[in-house]
Amino acid sequence: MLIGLELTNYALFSHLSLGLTAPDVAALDDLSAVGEFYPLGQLSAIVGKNDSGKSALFAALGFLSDCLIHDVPFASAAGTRGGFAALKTHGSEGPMRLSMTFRKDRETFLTYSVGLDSDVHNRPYVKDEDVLLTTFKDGKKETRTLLQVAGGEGKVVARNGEESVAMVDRRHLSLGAYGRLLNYADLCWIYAQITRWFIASDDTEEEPLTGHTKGGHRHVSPRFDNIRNVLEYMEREDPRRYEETLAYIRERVPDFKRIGDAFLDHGQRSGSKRLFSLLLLLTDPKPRPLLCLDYPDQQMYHDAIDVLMFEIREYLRRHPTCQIFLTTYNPNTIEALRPGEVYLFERPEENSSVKVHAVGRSEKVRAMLKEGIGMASIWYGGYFEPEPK
Amino acid sequence: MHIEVLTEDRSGVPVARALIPALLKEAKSDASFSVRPHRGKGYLPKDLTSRPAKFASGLLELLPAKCRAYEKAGGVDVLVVVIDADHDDPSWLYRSLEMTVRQFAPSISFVFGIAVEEMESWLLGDKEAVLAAYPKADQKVIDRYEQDSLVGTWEVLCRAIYKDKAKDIIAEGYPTTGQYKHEWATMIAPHLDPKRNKSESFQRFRQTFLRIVGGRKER
Repeated sequence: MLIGLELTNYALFSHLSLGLTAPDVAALDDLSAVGEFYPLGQLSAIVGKNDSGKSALFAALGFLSDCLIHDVPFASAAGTRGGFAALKTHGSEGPMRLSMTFRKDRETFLTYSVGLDSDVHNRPYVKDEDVLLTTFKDGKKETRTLLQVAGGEGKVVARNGEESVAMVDRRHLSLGAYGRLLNYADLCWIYAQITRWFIASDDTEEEPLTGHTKGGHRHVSPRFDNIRNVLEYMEREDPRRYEETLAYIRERVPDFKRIGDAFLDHGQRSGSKRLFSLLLLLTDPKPRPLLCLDYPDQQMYHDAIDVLMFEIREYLRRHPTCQIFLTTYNPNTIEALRPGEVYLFERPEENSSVKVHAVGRSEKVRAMLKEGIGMASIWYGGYFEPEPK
Repeated sequence: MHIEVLTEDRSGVPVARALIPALLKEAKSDASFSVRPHRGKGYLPKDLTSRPAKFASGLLELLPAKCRAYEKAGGVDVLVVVIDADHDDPSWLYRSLEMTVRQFAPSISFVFGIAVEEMESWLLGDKEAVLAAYPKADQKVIDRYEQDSLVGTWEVLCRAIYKDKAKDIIAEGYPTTGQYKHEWATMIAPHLDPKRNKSESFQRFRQTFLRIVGGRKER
């Protein structure tokens, strides 16, 4: 599980800190104190005014994932990203830094930190990269460096000891190399996490369409444009499961008529199609570790939102190590959330840095919810914002 | 010291944001405050100990639960409630509010601002502020208004600002009227001066606020 992250000098985040971050792991004395750092849980919802950076967070995760799967220059230019110079915070000094904290199991924390910068020609390169493993065994805390690379050189820890690292170029992340080799088990684990993130947001809109190719697709694509292919695959692979899944979804999508060409060819814009696609995504037997859904409740009637939120809860219950991040400004969605799941993004002035407030920290919010006041009313009353000092 | 200000609706927010700092300055207090709008006045629940109805969002509907929550969470020294009397008897409304807060938030001091008939009477009580925001407003309408009387207060303000066109707005009714009220409150609030406000209900509120905030010990 991704329990925390830090972004430095990425787009409008000069510094963004969410959940339990790398410095927090370093400061952690005891597993019982984890809650005090408000780690990200299975469901995290980001609310905030327009242009407060909500979608930019998903873009950052997508960027990191692409850097790992491909390389930094490719990732910087892919889709609508516009190159590294456009991604790095304007006027920032120092490299861009992306830091992810994972909790692999109750006692095991892995942090992955990447520093990226560009040369005089604005060509991006990997400045530094490291992976730290922190374990708590029998109350004893141990931290080991599994990977440490700077300037293209460093060291990595394999099963049988330490090895030196020498990258052929500065375009590729070392994790991209070692994470593909089973001999480096923990690095493989992190690589599998990050590269399997599902980022459904407007940033992915410009990518080549996958849906117009023929044939079965196993998984729903982040553009939600291969529904037909996924259904085809499912029908061929396991007809019984196919019928069951369709019946399950049909019962839950209000106004569902039948799956015909007309239904499937409507763009993602239609609320019913959107709900259908999301429910199909949630039935995936091999779910992704993290789904990032940008305004999944767009254009959805309130009863459809109730269905979506329930199915999200059920999905997370079935898959205790899976996570969903979503952005929203719909009161019906917010009504279905708990304080600990909500993060408010604020950008006080147009060019200032984004501030994050974990609503779970507010005793007032928790107390009001306990007394039966709904989250939407609490939000309307402005209680998601931090208290004035 | 922290003050929580509950208002009936969004139009109460700019008014509170203008008046509370002015009053705090008068009280020589550096207390912090938060303004909490609701979706309407609502009604106090028959059973004050019950949980609010699902999606309840009116001020009075949520008041008992909020009092309990504030008492448990702590960090609230003064609870200010700004509410329109509308058709309710202001003293009855006052007693109901007092009973609720004393019962469920005994450690919190309270100040109730009950506008007669509604919040616009506090705006009409400060003619200079209305004219500063709307220089072309009809002064005669404002002068003819009997302060704090039950005459359809917001219609008076509407006629002062919109003159002939006022009857169209009045005819449209809810929710359009709410949008206009918010607009007037936003425009007029920055010009308000508590000391010169002619509304008696406002002056009562002001005196009580100064007394409570001045008297409350720092926790």
